[in-house]
Amino acid sequence: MEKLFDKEQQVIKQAEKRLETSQFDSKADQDAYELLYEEYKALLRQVTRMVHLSDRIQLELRTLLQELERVSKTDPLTNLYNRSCFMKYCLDEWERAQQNGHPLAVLMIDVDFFKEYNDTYGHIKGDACLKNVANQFFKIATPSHNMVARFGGDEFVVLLSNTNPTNAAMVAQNILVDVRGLHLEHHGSKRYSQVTLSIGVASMVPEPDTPFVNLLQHADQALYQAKEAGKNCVRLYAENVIGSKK
Amino acid sequence: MQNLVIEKTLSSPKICFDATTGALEIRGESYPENVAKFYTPVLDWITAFLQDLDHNCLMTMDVPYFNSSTSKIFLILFDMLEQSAQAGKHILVKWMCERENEMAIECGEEFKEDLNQLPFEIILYE
Repeated sequence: MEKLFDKEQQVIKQAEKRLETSQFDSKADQDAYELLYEEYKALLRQVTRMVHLSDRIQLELRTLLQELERVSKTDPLTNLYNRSCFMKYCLDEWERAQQNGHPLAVLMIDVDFFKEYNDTYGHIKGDACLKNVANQFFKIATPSHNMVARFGGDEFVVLLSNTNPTNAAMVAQNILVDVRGLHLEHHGSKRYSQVTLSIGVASMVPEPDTPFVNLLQHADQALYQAKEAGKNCVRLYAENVIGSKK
Repeated sequence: MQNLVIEKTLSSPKICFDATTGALEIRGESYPENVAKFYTPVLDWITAFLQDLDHNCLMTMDVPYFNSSTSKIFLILFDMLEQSAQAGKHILVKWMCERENEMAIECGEEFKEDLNQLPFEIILYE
């Protein structure tokens, strides 16, 4: 089929052929046939136009739907995934890891003294700071394995698929170094003169009845330990110290 | 002839047809649950109006979104207006679109393609 309405066009051609050869019993028959032919052509034109219009509208709606889906998953400031998208993704990954027995790791990341940053430089520069930091996270996010999201405020979270505690801590350490490498000045910081991060790391092979939130809580506890240890460091749940204070 | 006024709802446009001045307006989105039922009195009114039309008629349509069934109604409507225009009646259609509504603009262009005698203007507004 070359065109959508090939069959209909063939019907029109057949009708035209019949009209040309005048194969009718009477003039009245021919007139009635011609009337039907004209009506068929007009209606076919309407239907063809309707299909074109519908295609255009459907394309527009499809595009809007895709944009809506993107917006619903994305944090508008950093363009990272948002919290609800992250949680949904994690639950799926958790289930997969339960089935194949692979470890999953979570990194909870906090920008140190961010309230003081906002107090010192204002919220506009605070937003720019978060964007700068978030840009460092894109390099560890690969579509099929890892996911990075803004968890809320100055808190970010990373899910690493099939990653044991040691490798997860190495990823965290690299993030720490990358953000230090930005040399974003922070004169409001109570300890350092530049923007730094605290990162809590946890990794586990999911047991059948263990909920994902346990892993998240472990990473959160490790983050708390990192902050307690003076910030600007990585802590692995529950006791190993990977990073170092500046 | 009586004027026809149907108030706008969430899914159907406002219809405001003035038989005396010949100003016919359709404004608002159109995806009523029963398109045929909604537009039957509209098409009936226009059929009667066109028969007696002896002065200018301006059909203004500002329909930013419409479903497939409505597009069929509009095609019928434009065919009716086209036939009247071919018969020498003075009819002008103004298809109004917001400048950013590409879908409505493109649909207006689609409608215009089938018309030979009926003046059909696409008017963009901010």
